[in-house]
Order: sequence, then C-alpha cells, then structure tokens
Amino acid sequence: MLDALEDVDGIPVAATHRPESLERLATLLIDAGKSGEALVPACGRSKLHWGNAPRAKQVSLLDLAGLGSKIDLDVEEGIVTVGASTPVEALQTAAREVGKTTWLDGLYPHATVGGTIATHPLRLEAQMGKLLRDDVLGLEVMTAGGTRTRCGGRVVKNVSGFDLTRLYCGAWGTLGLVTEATLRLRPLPDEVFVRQEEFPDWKAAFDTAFGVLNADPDGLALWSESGAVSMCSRYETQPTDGGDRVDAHAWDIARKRMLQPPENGAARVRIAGRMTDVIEIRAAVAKLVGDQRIVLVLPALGAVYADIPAETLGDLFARADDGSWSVFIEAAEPGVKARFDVFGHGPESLRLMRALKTRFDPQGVLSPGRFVGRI
Amino acid sequence: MKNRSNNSASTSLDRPGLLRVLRGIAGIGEVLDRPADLFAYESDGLTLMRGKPLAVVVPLDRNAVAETVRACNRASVPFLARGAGTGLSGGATPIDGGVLIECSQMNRILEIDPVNRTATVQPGLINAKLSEAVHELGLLYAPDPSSQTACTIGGNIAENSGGPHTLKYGTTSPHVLALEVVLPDGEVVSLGRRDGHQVGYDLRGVFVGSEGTLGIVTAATVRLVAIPKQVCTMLVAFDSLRAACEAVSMVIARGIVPAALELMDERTIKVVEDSVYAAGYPRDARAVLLVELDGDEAEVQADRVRIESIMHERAAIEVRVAKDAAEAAAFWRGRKGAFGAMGRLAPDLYVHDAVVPRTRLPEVVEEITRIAEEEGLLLANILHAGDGNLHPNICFDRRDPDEMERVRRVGDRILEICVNAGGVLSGEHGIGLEKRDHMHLMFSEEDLDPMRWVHDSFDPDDRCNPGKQIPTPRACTESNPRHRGYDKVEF
Ligand SMILES: Cc1cc2nc3c(=O)[nH]c(=O)nc-3n(C[C@H](O)[C@H](O)[C@H](O)COP(=O)(O)OP(=O)(O)OC[C@H]3O[C@@H](n4cnc5c(N)ncnc54)[C@H](O)[C@@H]3O)c2cc1C
Repeated sequence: MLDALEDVDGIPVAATHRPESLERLATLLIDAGKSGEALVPACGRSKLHWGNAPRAKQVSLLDLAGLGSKIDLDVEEGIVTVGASTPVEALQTAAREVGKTTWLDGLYPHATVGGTIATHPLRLEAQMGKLLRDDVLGLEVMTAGGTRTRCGGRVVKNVSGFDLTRLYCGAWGTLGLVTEATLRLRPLPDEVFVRQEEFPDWKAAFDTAFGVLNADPDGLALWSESGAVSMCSRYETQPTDGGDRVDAHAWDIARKRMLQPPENGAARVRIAGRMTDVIEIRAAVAKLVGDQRIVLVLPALGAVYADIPAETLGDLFARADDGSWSVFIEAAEPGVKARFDVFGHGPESLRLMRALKTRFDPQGVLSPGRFVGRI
Repeated sequence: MKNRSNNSASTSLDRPGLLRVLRGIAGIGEVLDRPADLFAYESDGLTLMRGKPLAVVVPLDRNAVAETVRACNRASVPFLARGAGTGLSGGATPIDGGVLIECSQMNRILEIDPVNRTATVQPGLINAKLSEAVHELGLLYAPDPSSQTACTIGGNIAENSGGPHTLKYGTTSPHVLALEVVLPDGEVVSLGRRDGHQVGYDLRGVFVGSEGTLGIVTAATVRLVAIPKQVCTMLVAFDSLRAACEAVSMVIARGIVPAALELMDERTIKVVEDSVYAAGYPRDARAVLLVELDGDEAEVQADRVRIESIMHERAAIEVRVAKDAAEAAAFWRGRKGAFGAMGRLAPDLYVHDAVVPRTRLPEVVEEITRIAEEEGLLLANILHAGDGNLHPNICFDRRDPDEMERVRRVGDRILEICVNAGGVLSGEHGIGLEKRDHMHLMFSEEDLDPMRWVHDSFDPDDRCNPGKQIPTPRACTESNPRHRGYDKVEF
C-alpha cells in the first residue's frame, strides 16, 4: 500500500478511500455525489502530478489499487482482459511469456493499466499511427453515479454503437472510472535494433532524421549534449537500409532523459504538432530557454519535451497561440498550475466537452477542475 | 467555434417556408421535392427498409450545409446526411420526412501533405479516388471497403468502415486525424487535430462511427500510409471451412499479422466461378482463403514461408502464391465481385454483418448455415476471417412474403448466435435502423446510457438523423422523440 498523501497539487487530501470491491467503489461514488466530496482517482500514482490542480477546497484520494489485478490472456484470439489496477509492467511480463506485448506505455515505473488508459500518454517507442486508443477493444467503466457499464467488446473489430472506448481513453477519469480493459495483443518483436548517430548541429540531424522516418522506426529520439546532437532510432524489424547496429540499451538513454525530473522548479512541457513542425518547435524552444533544456525531440511523434522555467511559460504559450502547436505542461509546481491551464489553450470544441462532463458527472465528483479548460 | 447558430432569435418556419429558405441558400446545387425525384433517396443499400424524405438538398460547400441545418432547426424538421447511399444498415434512410443532405457534390481533395502523410478532403470524395490521387507520391489511404469505388469518405467516417485490409491497418477511425463538422445546431467546429495529438476528450474518436447522428462532416484530415514495398497474395483451398478457420487462428496465434485474411465458403466459390468474376478458385474446395502479406521484402518472404507451413499443417488441399500483380488481382477479383455474383442466386440479397471471437468462427458459421437450411433459405458466407467478421448473405425474393418472414427470422437468429458466442452486432456496416432494436442483445440499459449522454451533448433536440443506432430507453418508448417515425419504416 502506498503512503497517505498530504495534498494533490497543493489541495489538501482530507481522506483516502481504498475500495476493495466494485460494490464498495459504487457506494463511495454515490456518497460523494450526495455530499459534494471531490474524488481524485489514483492507483500507481505515476501520473498523479499530471493535470490541473483540483477545483475544490479539499479532495479525497480514491486509491483503486485494491480492486484486483487479474490478467486473462487469450493468445489464440490475440486479446487480453486485464483489471485496471494491474501494473503495466506485470501485464507486459505476462504477455512477454507468451511472445506478445501491448501498446501500453511502459516508461513510468508503477504505472497501471487504468491510469495509462486514462491519461493516454504518448509512447516513446511508437509513431503517431500507433496509439493505445486504437488497441483498446473494450472497457468496463464505473460511472460517476456508481453504475457498472461496459463498452466495446472482446473482439478486434466492432462498430456497434458509439465508440465510447475512445472517449474514455485520455479522459483522465473525469467521465468515469475504468475498472477493466480488453486490449489487443501485439507480437513481441524477436529482436530490437537500435542505431545511434551524432551530428554537429540540428540541421544535419534533422536532415537525416526525416530520411530515417521513411524506414518507419518504432522510436526516434534526438537530443543535444555538449554541443553535438545525438540521434537514436529503434526498430522492431530489421531496418532494410543497412547501417550500424548498436546495443539495444542505447535506447535507454532516451528513456532516462524522459524519466529525469526537471530541475530548479522548471515545468516539464510537451509541445506537439505535425512531424515537420518539430524543426520549428525545437528552434522556438531553444530560442526561449536554450538547447540544454530540451529533453527530447521526437520527430515520429511530432513532439518536443523540454524543461521550461516558470517565468518563460507565458512566452511559450504566446508562441503557440494560433493553435498550430499544442502545449501540455506535464509536471509543474502548484504555483505554476495556479497560473496556467496545463493543457494550454482549450480546443474550440470545449463547449461540447463541458456538456459531456455535465452529463457524465452531473455532481462533479470525478477530479473536478483537473482536465482541459479546468473541466 | 465558428458560425455559432442563433436559432432562438430566428423566426420559425413552416414546411413551404423551409423549402423557400433552402432554395435561397447560396451554395446549394439543387433542392428536390417532387416525389419522382425523391424515390431514389428512400433507402440506402439496405433496400428492405424505406422512408420518404421531405426534400433533398445538394450542398456544394460547408456554409450551405450549416445554413441548411439551421433552416431545418427553425422548421423543427429533422435532417440527415447521405454520401453514396451504399450503407447496409439503413443509416442514410430518411424517416419521418426529414431533409436529406446529399454530400456527393462536396468531393474535392483540399490538401495533400506528402511529408506528414496526410490529406484533407471533402466528405463526398469517393474512397478509391483518394488512393488514386496519392499513388504517384508512393502513398495510399488504407481503409478499403469492398464498395470503395462508390462509397464516400464521409460515409466511411460515419460508419467507421473497414475492409479486407483492416486486419493490419485498422478500420477508418485510426486513419482520421481531424474533422470539420456542422453540429446539429448549425455551429461549425473542428474535432481532433490534423497532427493527431489529442487535447481534451477524443471527440473525433466518438464521432467516427456515430452514423451521422452527431453532426455532418464537411471536411476531414486523414492519414496516408506508404505503399508497401512488397505484396504477396496467396490462395489457399481447404476441404472444410473448419480447417480454414483453424488455419486463420493459428496464423494469428503465431504472431503473424497479414494485411488480409479473407475466407469464402463453398457456395460463394461456386457462384463466383459461375459468374463474370470467375477467379480460378478450385470448384471442389469447401473453402478458399485469400492471404495477403505486405511490407519489406525480407519480412514478407519470411512470413510467406511460415504461412505456407501453417496451411499445410492445417491440411490445405492447395496453396497458390500469385506470381505477379495480375494473378493477385485475379485472386481478388473473385472476392470483390462475390456480392455482385450472388445476384445469380436470387433477386435480392441481405448482407449480414457480425463479429465473433475468431476461434468461434467454425461453429458459428456451421450453426448459421444449418439454421438457414432449416428455414429453406440460400445462404453464402464471406468472412474477414482474421478479424472474426462474418458476412452471412441470404439470397431471397422479396415478392414472397413467407420467404421475407423467414429472412427476418434467420437474421435475428444470426445476431443472437453471434452475440451469445461472445461477439458483437456489427463489424463494419453499423447499427443504423437495421439493428437498433438488437442493441439490447449486447448492451444493458445502463451500458446504453453513456451513449445517450454523448448523443444529448451533441444533439439535445434530436434532429440529426433521429431514430438510428441507439435505441430509445425502454421506459420511455412512447414519449421520447427518438421513437418518432420508427413504426413508419417498412421492413
Ligand atoms: C457491395 C457493397 C460492399 C460493401 N463492402 C463494405 C466493406 O467491405 N466494408 C464496410 O465497412 N462497408 C461496406 N459496405 C457498406 C458501405 O459501403 C459503407 O458503410 C460505406 O461507408 C457507406 O458510405 P456511403 O458514402 O455510401 O454512405 P451512405 O450510405 O450514404 O451513408 C452512411 C451513413 O453515413 C452518414 N453520412 C454520410 N455522409 C455523411 C457526412 N458527410 N457526415 C456525417 N454523416 C454522414 C449517413 O447519414 C449514414 O448514416 C458495402 C456496401 C456494399 C453495397
């Protein structure tokens, strides 16, 4: 069991609930609806610091770790049904034993299946065309009103009714709590091939990087260190264009950079656009804070991660004001979160999003204020 | 959001007034309201279900769509979009005198971005035209419904359509990055982002597959993929459907992801071989499996060897590897022409669509075939076997009322059997009118409530393609406006 928490982004935690059954979870939700209690769901807590500060004087932590972590692999069907509290690492280990994997992000230690579906992080080892939400086949979700519901199914193709699975992916638990998921299993690559190259400057690095993209790498990361630019590309099938192959662990450098927390009160920020936008995004960020604060440039994902000092965030948001890039503050001090919506400028469909929240969670029980537009 | 509507401030309209307003909208090519002109719009490809529109408008641009929707709101008249009308679940069938917005003239490609591999298109663009347009750039649009030379991107988005290559590339949804949509109140809004990043709820994701009930797509940015460097197409014959299905399961379990795994049963093979689509399928086979592999040369060759060994292990009676593109096209000609060829068996064809866990395919197909035989109906099966997606096709004559009744009965049983086997009501044709009342087989009222919350968030007045996809809550069937017109639909 994880320690009790004192606050979530500066908002005091008044109580911690640890339901051990879905019935108990339902009761807690119903009671919260009556009493006006704000619940912040959590499990592995790997991303509890993500999102806006809750809009409440105090919150109760809803620790879902006790809800069981069954893993039901069906290799012939190519699917797995898994309890939402299951650690991603446990699922991937079980899948590996039968020669399979899933598109769940494995970067953050302690992350759970439910939390990863809810926050839908970009996967370092992927391209934009390989998103987790496309591999979530079915979900069991407890509504804010405490009702158990199902959506999707246990088959790989399904157009029966609205596609709610995609709606819950990346909804940060603000529309309902994922309690079980059925995911597609993917073949475990026989071998992983990693290449590392160095370039004198960003121009040379990008020139090569965009060529490398044609070889469809499963991961492409660039960063600058001691004046040079490093590029690491990762492949799950042998790249056809030859070239040097290095130890697969070279990719760990990229992972470590992502896991290294920002220093001196800076915020970890993801600035994203189209693949080609990363050139301009990198240049803009470097101009604002210098190359050394760029954590990773990920052309296949159209994203740049950087550690931005609080006082520069306003300039960054202004730079992305026309909406062509999205800015997301992944981690920041409560003071920063008080000043900025961490999701940046809300999309133009915010009105619809608010309408959805009102219908799915009329009492505002689930993580009020934490989502985009402080929904 | 752009062009926020101002319905409350506008005066209301009666029906003649509505027609007058529609005729005055700039950017509307045609407004049809004579019964003879409307006849062609009474149904989509599911001709068993029909309804009459009040009028048909043919907009040429987004503003005309938005103005039409606003006018319908002022007149309190429902409206619905139509693409090519090839849908097979009654999605584009008008009920209760709505205005049908025919999108086929909004058919331009607005932008192609070869580096980021995206295209922005209008909804009336025919699916196959997009792949044709980007072919010389070495790209293609992956979703490939068998109807792709006729159906539109807008219809594909509404139905979340699939195709033979869905097995590897997925249905339409993963290929849609962003949508420009006229909401049911006439407001124009973007859902999703052209870069694919998700900010806030995935409204793009829930819109795809919503069968035109949440708004009307006026532009879409879609993902393109590189044309694979190598393609290998194989034709494998079996002396039982069961052996073929088992071979399919083994391919998946061994971790091979072919681009397509398509199966045809004995009756389909025979009817295809008797038709102009004859593809050289062995006439004595009980099942023919088409396997397509694509990717890099080494990968394709390695998988081909593994597949051949699996097929022999599962007692295939013949394995043919296409020598060249022409032979591969011939293998596909039979599969793609199979629906058309079935016209030889009876005047009418009811194309069913459901999904089961792929390991249950043999027993489910056997049971469905047996039930059809017991009812004296001709049934031929085509399966996207790799996805567990089956199309049992009932050949019949609608002029025979007794046969019609049996067709309906067998249709209901097919859905029950599939859902009871752990499957779902539809893999690609959607729910529409056809299966709306079967949704309770799969979902409880509690499961359906979140779908209704989504619907009501987009369309609180229930004007946009009402009566489709989501059944009315049982308790309020009489009072809820979504019940409107259901009983007027003929079957
Ligand atoms: C021979 C044949 C083979 C087929 N094969 C396949 C197949 O392999 N895979 C498959 O998935 N389907 C298949 N279909 C079904 C059909 O072709 C698809 O459902 C297709 O996507 C429908 O496109 P359409 O343009 O004809 O849409 P329509 O039939 O006109 O409309 C379908 C739905 O889309 C909505 N719609 C249309 N345009 C818009 C818009 N702009 N905005 C919002 N909603 C809109 C309509 O309201 C309706 O609900 C087949 C049909 C036939 C006749």
